[in-house]
Amino acid sequence: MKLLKNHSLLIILVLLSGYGYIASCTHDAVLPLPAAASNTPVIKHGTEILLPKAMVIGDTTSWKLDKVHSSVMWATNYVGAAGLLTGRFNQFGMHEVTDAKMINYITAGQPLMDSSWAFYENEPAKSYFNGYVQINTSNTGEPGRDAGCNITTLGTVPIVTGTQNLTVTNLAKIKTTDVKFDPSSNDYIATISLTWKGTLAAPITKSIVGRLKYIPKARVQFGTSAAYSVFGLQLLFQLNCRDFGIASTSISDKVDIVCNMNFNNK
Amino acid sequence: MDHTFFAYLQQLEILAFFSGYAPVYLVVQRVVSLPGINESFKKRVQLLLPYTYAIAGTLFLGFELKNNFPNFSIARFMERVQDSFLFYWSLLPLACWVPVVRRYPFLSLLHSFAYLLVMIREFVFSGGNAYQNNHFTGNYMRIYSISMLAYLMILLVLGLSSLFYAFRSVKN
Repeated sequence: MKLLKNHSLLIILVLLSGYGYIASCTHDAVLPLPAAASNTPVIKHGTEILLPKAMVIGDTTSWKLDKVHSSVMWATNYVGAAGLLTGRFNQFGMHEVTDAKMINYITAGQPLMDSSWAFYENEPAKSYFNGYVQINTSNTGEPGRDAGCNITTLGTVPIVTGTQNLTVTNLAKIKTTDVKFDPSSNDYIATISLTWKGTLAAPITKSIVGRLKYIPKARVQFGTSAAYSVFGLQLLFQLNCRDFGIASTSISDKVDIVCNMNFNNK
Repeated sequence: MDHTFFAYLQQLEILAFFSGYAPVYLVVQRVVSLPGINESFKKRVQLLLPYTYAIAGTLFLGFELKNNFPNFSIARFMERVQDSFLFYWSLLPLACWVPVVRRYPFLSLLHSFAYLLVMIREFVFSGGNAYQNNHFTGNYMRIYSISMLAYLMILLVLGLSSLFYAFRSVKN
């Protein structure tokens, strides 16, 4: 096999292989990569100024808390390890409950006007909120627990029908001390003071940082009824119940709170 | 070749097993032909080349059989054959185990040229746009390179084993 001996085959093979490698290395037709997506969040704050004013019915510039469609919910890990144990407070409001107002109110409705708040969409420093819950109205859907062990565990007293109990043993209240823009989203960072007695001898105040979300104003109309506007605020924060003397091992140290407040201008 | 995806995959498998033999064979032949190379070493290396091809053929058969297990049956084995000519051609290297065939190493070279022709045919008639062709060619060249490396490894292992065996024979 002279052909094999003169190495011409080797040369042909080297040339063919060389062609194959070069052809496969050509990047002429490689498609250009699309530009990388931006990691910067799109932050846009409007200029809405939403205030309760005198809460006069029919005044469309006055925003009222729609308590029926609002909620204050809590969640914590059952026994600190398992799934979530959740519940809500049936009675809550948005009023600054001063010491003088911390009494029993004989009424089935809201004991105080929900008017201790203001929201400036583009000027968070001017925004502020006050809120409260009646601890004994915690509702987990298990009446035996809600009216039973929960009462002693949370250091409060049972519900008295027809009475709104805003006394010191049954009141947890919050008050914002600072509201500012969240630099990484459209939300706001709210620093709040949470005051609650729990099972302690006297109420204690803890400063907590939470997240405030604004659900933008929208106009709604149903059937032939007059149109009106709505907006929402959601406050999320976490508290350590041991700070307030809660010793129950059925719940975790950390309790997540979500306040969903809906407002309308009817 | 039937231009289905499975046929393409089987063709790639076959090329991975056999396309690297021809360049390794020619380069080794060239190296051992260099002046100053001991004649007995040259003969020994030349004898090893058909063995590497036989080993590759055996590994290919093993690979194909493995793909048919469990529940092996001849019918299933035949069903998996996508390109009959190339497949049965790829079983022929087993003949290199036969001493008469092994005596003519160039036969293994001639046999392996079929795979290079298959690659050239695919380069020329692959169709598609330049972007696809680049990747297509690149893939074939990768398989070709891996195949060459595999043959070099087999040759190296065989060479070392042969040396070890020779050393032991001399010692005894």
